[in-house]
Amino acid sequence: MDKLNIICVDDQQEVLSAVLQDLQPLAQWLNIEECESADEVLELIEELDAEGEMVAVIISDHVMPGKTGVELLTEIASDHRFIQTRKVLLTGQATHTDTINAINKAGIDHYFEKPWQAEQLIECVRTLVTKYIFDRGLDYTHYQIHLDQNVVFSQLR
Amino acid sequence: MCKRKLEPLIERYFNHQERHLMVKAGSLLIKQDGYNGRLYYVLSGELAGFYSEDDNRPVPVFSASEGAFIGVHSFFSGTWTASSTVVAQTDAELAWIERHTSVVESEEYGSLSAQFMPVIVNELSRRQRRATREALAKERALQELYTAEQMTTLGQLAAGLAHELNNAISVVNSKSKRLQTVIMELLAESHPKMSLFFEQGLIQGQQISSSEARKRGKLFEKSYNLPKDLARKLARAMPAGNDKANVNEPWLKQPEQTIRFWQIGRDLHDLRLAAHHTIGIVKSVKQLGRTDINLDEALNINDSVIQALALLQSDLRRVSVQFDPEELPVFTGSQTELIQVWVNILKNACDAMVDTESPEIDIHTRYNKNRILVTIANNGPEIDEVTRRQIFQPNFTTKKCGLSFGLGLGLSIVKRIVAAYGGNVAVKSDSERTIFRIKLPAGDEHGQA
Repeated sequence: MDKLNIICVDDQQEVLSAVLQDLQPLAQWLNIEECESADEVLELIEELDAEGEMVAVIISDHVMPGKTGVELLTEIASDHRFIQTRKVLLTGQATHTDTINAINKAGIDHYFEKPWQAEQLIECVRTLVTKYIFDRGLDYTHYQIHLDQNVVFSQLR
Repeated sequence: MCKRKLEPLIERYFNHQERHLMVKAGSLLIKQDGYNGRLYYVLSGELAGFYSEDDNRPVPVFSASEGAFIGVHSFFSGTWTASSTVVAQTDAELAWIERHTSVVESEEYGSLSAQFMPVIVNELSRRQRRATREALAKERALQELYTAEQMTTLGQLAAGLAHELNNAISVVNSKSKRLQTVIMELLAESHPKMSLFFEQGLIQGQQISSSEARKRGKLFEKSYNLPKDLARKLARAMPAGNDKANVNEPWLKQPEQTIRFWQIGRDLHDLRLAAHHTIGIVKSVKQLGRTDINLDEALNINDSVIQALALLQSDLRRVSVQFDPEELPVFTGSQTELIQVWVNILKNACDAMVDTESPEIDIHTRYNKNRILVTIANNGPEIDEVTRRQIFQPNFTTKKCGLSFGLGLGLSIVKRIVAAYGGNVAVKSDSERTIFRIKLPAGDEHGQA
């Protein structure tokens, strides 16, 4: 079975490593990538796509030098190769307008405020990856024990 | 009042040499609440009226020059009592009539008060206008006071919040230091071989960027035949320069173990870093909210700039900031006020550069000819000339909409503070750069501790 990719992006390394550590329980069945800027994410997804890998979820900070999280997610949302990729904004300082753009333009699936709770983050990623697997028509049985069972049931009904 | 209309009246009553009077500059014409039986007409010179209450400092209430009447109220109200004190400001020539002056051509023009009706009405409306003007000025002053009070309240709230946060973060800071010592001691006893990795993480933190870690991880995967996940973790942890290490490299003997201890060290490192950072911010906020502004602190301007930058860390996240400080003499003033100056200018720059492609701020400090010069430049949009002219005025703002509205006080505060130190602030702007220059006097009167 292929390991699906999760990408986390935050310009502060301490924050990034904390997110990564919290997501460790998922590492046994998902490949978790880290990036320190939006441009690094764009480069990485190019690379992954070229190798035929799939990006299931991107978790992005908002305020970063260069492109912001909302800009990054908007760009990815309009790329047909990543149309099914699920998007999460994890931020402490998005304004009202940023948030509206995140929903309307980037089509984010979930919004987390810093500080986040590890369990909630894990559950959210689990749910989103499950949805991604069904959206892509992948064989869910390969991952079954790790998936969000509620989503699985509702998909199978 | 239409002067032409009054000409015949002036001609009839104020054209008699025996009722003309010369007054010297500074001499008293009428005393407030004293008897005044005359109506004066100013032929030349300048006079001023003052009003004082309960022996307080007299307040100027009017000035009268050529063509003006003095004593209209006391003359026509029939009280014969002056409402203000009138003093000649220059040598002046006056003409007058008094209560016993006979009425000219009363058959044709009516009584004295009828003839002087336009003068009386004019005096009334002048007083009315003055009252309106004063009511407006008072309203404005109250409004400013109210805003200033709001700012003070906000400042005090922020200081209170900072105090609470300070206690909390001090606990985090000291307990993480303590944990660090305890873990080090424990490791020395139980896993002496692992101390090295813990300390590496603790002292250096993670020094490798995410993209480097990705590349290095792939390399380790191949050369050491490790699973992907482990190779990546090792790539983050191992100090740079060990890439071609042999299998005897201590990091590779028990990679799971070494990484585990390195991570504990790195986490403590990050914890300490975050606590340190928080302490800095809290300190700056406390500075800003202080009400006891001490004007004779010996301080370093460069430090105040650094504190301001720390305060604005989150606004500056997307901006590339260059700070080029020169060694400066000690400046005597208030740290709080100076931080306020830099924060206001920098915050404005951040707000202005919201739509700027790659926003930059350059800060220079220089010392030349007993003057400290601070230049803050940004590559945001040009400030047009109309805006530039009003930019330092209170209540002027370009931020009217949205959540991040402005009070229009920022730059007027900057100007007030800088001026109080005998310095000045200027703005220059074109399509490429907007530059604020602040000059502060150093040396004899200011500083050189």
